[in-house]
Amino acid sequence: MTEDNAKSKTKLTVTVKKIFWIAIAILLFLLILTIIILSARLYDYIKIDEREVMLKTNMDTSFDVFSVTYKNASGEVTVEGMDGEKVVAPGTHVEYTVRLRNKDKVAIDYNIIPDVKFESEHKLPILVRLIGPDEEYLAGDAKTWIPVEELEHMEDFRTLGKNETNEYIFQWKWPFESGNDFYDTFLGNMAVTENIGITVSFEIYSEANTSMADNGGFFGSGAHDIMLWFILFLLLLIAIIILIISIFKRQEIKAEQAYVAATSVPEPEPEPIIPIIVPEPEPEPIIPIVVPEPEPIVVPIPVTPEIKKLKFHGKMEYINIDEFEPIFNSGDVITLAILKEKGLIAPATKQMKILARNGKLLKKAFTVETQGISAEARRCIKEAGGTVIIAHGDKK
Amino acid sequence: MKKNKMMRVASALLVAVLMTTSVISGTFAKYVTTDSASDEARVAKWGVVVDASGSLYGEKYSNVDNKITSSTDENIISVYGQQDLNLNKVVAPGTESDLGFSFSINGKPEVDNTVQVQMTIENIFLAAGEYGVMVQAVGVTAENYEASTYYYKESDKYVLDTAATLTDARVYYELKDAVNVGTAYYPVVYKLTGISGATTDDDGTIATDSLKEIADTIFGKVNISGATVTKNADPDGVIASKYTYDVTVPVEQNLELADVLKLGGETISWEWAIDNTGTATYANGADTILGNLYAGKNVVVLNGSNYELPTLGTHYNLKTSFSITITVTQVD
Repeated sequence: MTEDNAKSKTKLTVTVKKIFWIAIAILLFLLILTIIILSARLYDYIKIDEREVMLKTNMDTSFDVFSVTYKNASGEVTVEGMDGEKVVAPGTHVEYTVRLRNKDKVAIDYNIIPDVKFESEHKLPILVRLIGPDEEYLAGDAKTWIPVEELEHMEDFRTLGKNETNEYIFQWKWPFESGNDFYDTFLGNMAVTENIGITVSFEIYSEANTSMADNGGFFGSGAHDIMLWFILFLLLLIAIIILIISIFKRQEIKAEQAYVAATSVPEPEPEPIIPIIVPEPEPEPIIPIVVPEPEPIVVPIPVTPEIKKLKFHGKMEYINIDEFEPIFNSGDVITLAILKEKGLIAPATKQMKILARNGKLLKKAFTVETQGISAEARRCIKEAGGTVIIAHGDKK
Repeated sequence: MKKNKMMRVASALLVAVLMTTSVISGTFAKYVTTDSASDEARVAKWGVVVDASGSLYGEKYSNVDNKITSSTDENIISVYGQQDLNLNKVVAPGTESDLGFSFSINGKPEVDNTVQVQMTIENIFLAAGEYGVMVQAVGVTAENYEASTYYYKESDKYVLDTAATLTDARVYYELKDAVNVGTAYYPVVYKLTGISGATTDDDGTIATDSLKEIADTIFGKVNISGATVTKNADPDGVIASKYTYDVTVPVEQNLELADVLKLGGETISWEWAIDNTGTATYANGADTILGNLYAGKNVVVLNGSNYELPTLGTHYNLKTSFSITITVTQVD
């Protein structure tokens, strides 16, 4: 290998290394970014100590279904509770709107349940209607009002997307002409000495909806949004792991190649062809033609360098093919144990790997049982007519 | 050495990934929140109380046409008492209501309302005029006939026979119990006592319709600013002493009705004195005429130069009654 080739190969190796490390740096950056986004998305799903309310309602600020005063069509107060107390009376009526707004980043499933309670044994002749989202009547209809106590049997389940608002219109009235003035008067007189009243309440139960369809699909908000980031996180992590492993593997291969290169004998250079220059004889004098003798061809005598034994943890030992040639004959079986007997391998060695030093000069056909063999060594043995068997090492 | 290190690092990373997965998977927490709100109200107070006590015309209550009722079931007080002139019953000379009759209204409704007061009154009276009783003369002969002493009947009139001699075909009558009632005579004198805000009682006399005066007084108390008067002593058109009152008073919420209408604590009583001659000399004669009228005797009244049968409602009335209905109604 010329010096130029070696330099260019080294350059290439460095460039590839750089690319690898840059790739790892990019992947690490993406990994960190993914972790940040994933954490942020998880934060949205974690509710700690009521720091966040999913569903906002206007009931939190005021829930004035009833009133202290009521006015007629002319705007004059016709009913007023003493001492600022809320009252109901024949002819009074109120319409109250319950608003639900999803301020979270996921869809919300909720259940709204109205409830009615009379404060005494006397029921009040109050009629109600409840209009849900999309102007759908949940109780009563456009022409029909139902008794207020029938509200207890109804509830409404819905899903509210993020940033969406639903409204429920609650209407009640105590008809002025109920057809039972006697009962109305009876209640009014009883109210002087007894607490005859009514309580209306609304309860709302809500929970996060993690279904994909309700959260804007695969790339919308919701649990699958988190899943997407989590999968990306895992892929990045796996990619980094693979890259690191491949880098180490490449370094290992290079180390092996460097070892092989350090221990191999360079191939003899081809004989230089020196042109025989036969000068043209001079015409006049007859001069004896002197033909220079060609330079002798120097055939280098192979010199076996000192074999440097490589040991790994005292368990594996390398050995080269050219060590077999002087000792074994064609057709011999070479195993770890036999090599130990011959003293070519240390007795404590558990495994051996055969390398291909001077493998091209191999002429004998051996049957080799080994734990490891380089590809070049394997090829040389096979070309020489031998066989390679991968066997287990010594367990002792 | 390098190879083992690499594998250990890779294994450690893989374990880290698996642990992260298990930790993250536990944070997919669903949570449930609740929210509730309630509002309450009580029934607005009504509490109108109409109270009546006592009696006007005696302790016994007769049939439906002559009854005294006092009902507060539907926020109505209705008192109707009527007694015919009956010498053997309560309304008669020398009788009076012992305890009187009281009524009141109070309450502080929390709703706008109207108070309607309706009264109908009727009094016993004998209009001014010359009255007597035509009694068929018995034993009139030509011999004892005296001119301008006897009357004969000609259609509905009793004509004084001024003929000098007796006419055989005629039936002669004599005028008995003649009395000249100088002014209208109201023998049952009503009295209204305990008028809130008044300094004197409303004390009537036989010369005036004291029942009307009382009714006027009560009407005046309830006819406050803003009231709507439908009838104000509207005459009956038949019975001269029969009047009707109807007034509706709007009352705002949370006002005491007794303070607005100023009704309560009043007592109505009456007396038919046994002898009113101290006030009117014809009083006893008038009492007799009224008694004769009730007895169905042939009472006559002078009209021009002849005597005629008196007209009920115009010349006389034999019933006295007082009816008051107070109705309190919520307004929308």
